[in-house]
Amino acid sequence: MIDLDVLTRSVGELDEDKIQGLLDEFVKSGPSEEDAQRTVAACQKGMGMVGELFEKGEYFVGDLIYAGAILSDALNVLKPVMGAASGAKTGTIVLGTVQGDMHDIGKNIFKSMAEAAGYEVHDLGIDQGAAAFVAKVKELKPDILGMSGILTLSIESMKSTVEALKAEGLRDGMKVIIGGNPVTEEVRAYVGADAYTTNAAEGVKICQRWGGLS
Amino acid sequence: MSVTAGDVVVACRTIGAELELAMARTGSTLPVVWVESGLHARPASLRERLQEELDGLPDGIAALMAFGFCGKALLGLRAGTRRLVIPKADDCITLLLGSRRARSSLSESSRTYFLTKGWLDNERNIWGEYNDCVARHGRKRTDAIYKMMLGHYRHLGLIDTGAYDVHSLYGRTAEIEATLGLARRIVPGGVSFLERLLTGPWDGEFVVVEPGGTVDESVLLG
Repeated sequence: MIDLDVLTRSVGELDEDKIQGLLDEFVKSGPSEEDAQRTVAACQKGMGMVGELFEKGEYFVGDLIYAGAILSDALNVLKPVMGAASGAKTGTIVLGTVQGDMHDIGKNIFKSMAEAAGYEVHDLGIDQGAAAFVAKVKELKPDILGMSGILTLSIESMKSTVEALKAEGLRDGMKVIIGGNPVTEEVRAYVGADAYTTNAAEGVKICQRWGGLS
Repeated sequence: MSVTAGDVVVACRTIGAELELAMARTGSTLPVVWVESGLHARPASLRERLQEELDGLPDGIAALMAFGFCGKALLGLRAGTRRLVIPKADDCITLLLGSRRARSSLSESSRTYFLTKGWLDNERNIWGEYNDCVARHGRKRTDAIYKMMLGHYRHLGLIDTGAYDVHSLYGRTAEIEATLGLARRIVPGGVSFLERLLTGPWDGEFVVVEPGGTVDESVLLG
């Protein structure tokens, strides 16, 4: 039987080889779907540790990206034993860096963490105007829209995107989260979003709370 | 509103050379309270440090903040018995490029990761983080991580602020450029934003927080 505490710690320590060894053995043992679910949860708990270490200044941006990749790989290994649960997606997120802003490091981290948490993420890329967000939302009817930006001018782009969504009748029934450098509670209210975050791991947790999952 | 005798500049060491140039150009003799580099990585620590410095300044003066928004570090600062003058700048990159508009238009066209001499000398910059990542995860993994991280970046932009010979950085940046796959680009910058901070008048590019006030989102909006 897999030691879940060791697994969680290995994810927290970004020990890819150890994680792989533990999961390979676990999958070979023919586990139940329930056990597989518990194993996924242990991996995600390890991801929380990574976020905390980043907050403390012990991990850097590169470590967050690495952690996202490790978690994605881990979930791929676990998929065959997860049964029906592996097919059930957590939700759909449309994501992008808003117009006038090219920065996407934080967005990319959020994307990899959200995918690792089971979301289907459609990333529009950088410097995306309201029309691009509206078109994608119309097409996919996502559960969540994520907008990112680090320049203060991106706040206006976020606001105009939300207004464009409202004008098209697409705002209701979807949660909007904004992330980046200049976001605060005041900015969230100004933009018309439901939540804000400056931390990718926290952003994923907020999304999970909306889905009632965490 | 403009600068008066007795006002004090509070500045980050990372833009020290640029502030000194701006002071020389404007003939400013205001005292400068220097705050060490590197604190912006932990905005709450920077805020705490700035508040300590502000609380120690004389009553009734203006504190001219030679800082950008620095990851929300300035948000929540209390003016106390002084006035605070704050440039509307995303960070010190915007401060050295001249305006938020200049920053935005450059970003759109260039996909650039910016550096200055002050960043190379004083800050935990991307090169330090890259090497740290190699030490902990090996070069192959690190290169894969940085490929994801910098996927959209094309240039390493060295800002020519006029405070140093930008060509003198080439020897130090060549390895960074080669390793991270970024092409060198010299980006025209300057110290005009800092000069305006030192002399006033403080127009729409600045926020003035009156005594008793707190720095709020008006630094970000409009």
